[in-house]
Amino acid sequence: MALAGYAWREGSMSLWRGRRAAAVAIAAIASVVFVAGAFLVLSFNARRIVRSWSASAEMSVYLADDAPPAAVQELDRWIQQSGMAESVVYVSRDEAFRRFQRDFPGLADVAGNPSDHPLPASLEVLLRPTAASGPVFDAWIDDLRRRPGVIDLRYDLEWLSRLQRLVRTIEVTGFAIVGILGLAAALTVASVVRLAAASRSDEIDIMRLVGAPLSTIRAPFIVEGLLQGVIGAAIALLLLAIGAWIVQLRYGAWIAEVTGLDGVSFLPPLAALSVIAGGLVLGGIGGFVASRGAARP
Amino acid sequence: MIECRAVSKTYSRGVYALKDVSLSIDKGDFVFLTGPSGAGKSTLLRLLLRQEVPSSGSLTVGGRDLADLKPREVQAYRRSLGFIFQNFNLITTRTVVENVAIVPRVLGQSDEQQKRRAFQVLKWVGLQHRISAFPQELSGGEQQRVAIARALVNDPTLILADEPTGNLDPDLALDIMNLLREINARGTTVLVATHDRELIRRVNRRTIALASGHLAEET
Repeated sequence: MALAGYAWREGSMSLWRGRRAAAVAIAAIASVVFVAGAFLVLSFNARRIVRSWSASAEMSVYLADDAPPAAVQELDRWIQQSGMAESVVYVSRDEAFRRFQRDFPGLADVAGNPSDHPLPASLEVLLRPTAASGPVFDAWIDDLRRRPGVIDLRYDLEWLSRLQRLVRTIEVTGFAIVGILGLAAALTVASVVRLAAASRSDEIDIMRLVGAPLSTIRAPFIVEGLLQGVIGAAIALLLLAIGAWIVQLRYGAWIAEVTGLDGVSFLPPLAALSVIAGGLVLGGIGGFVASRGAARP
Repeated sequence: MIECRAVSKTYSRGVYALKDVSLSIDKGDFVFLTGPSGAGKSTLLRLLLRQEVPSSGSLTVGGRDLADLKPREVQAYRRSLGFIFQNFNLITTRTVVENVAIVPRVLGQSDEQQKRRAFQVLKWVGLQHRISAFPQELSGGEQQRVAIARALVNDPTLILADEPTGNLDPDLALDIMNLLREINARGTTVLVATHDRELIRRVNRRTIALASGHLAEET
């Protein structure tokens, strides 16, 4: 506890004394954390869009005109029990005709008349977003196609799955870039803390001579790095929040119209905390690297 | 207290800084270590501070062979010493009291204890009125008193001083020596490296003379 208090006092004092050099390290951390945070905000919102669109993803299972009612009921039960569907609604040929006339009044003549039209009966399946992708789902679709009474399937999940993959690729690429930038930021912190250590070399020498434990010599440098990290991350988070607010203010309505969401969301509290933690880790790594050099006899 | 048996210290190219030096200093002794520049005085002090280890021979302090100490034990050993250097080795960005309190701080004492103990020793060396001053605001004699206070603050059993009066005029030098004698009178072993023959004559204590790394004379 005494060591923590001492390290805090010495680390913060050293940071204040070397505030100009520290500003460089803080700016480097803020830049990295800002880029990481921006990727997080983008990825968070992209996932919201995918989730929202997936939640309303539907599949139409078109039925043969001569499919017996028992076969349709069996198919309905089979879909419901598969765990892939939220709900299944039967749409008769008459209902399909009514809907077509309602949705496409200009094409009413094309569909023919109520007793003679080409529109098949169908089952409208609202798919579960969590289940509606992957090899199991693909196998289920293949199985469904072969069920008695089924003549065709239409579903819009394939492109959603592609969108999910795209989001994942962007995330991986983004975090790889952030990783490289993070390394550069940690090295900047290490250099700045080393500068602080060099300016205090007389003090470190004396501490060694009076038998200071290594932890007592190193701890202030680690604290200094941590402080730089947390300040940099806090600045980045603030800039991100302002950026998200401006985007929401200027493009919120357009985003809502295109995506169906209520605009841009900022990071949830846990993600924001992890951004701060990221800054702390970067600063801590830099401080630790510098402290090892400083405490070397 | 200090047992030095056939200690040699060589640096690169086989140059001897100390060669086959044997000496013994008892607990409570006040001893001068003298000799011209390059005689090996500072090398012996560096060995005693455990900044270096002998190339051969054994050096024990308080029964512990310094060459056998592990890093943590070296730290603990140094915490039992006090040291004073010619150039004072004070931290210029710290006040007098902070310079002295660095030792109790390293020992993990509370802020209150650190300051109380630092003030006690600063009072003892006559600097209680300068506790908030920075080293560069003090005279040479005052700076050396601060260094002495720092050396005393952890009640060491052994004080090592390397040319403690080298940067001081003769009167101030005698003041500092008198202070060291008072410390010695309280039971602390004091080893002072100096080439100031006049000072040694005036203080009149046991003297070990080194020359070219050898033990040349003991009086």
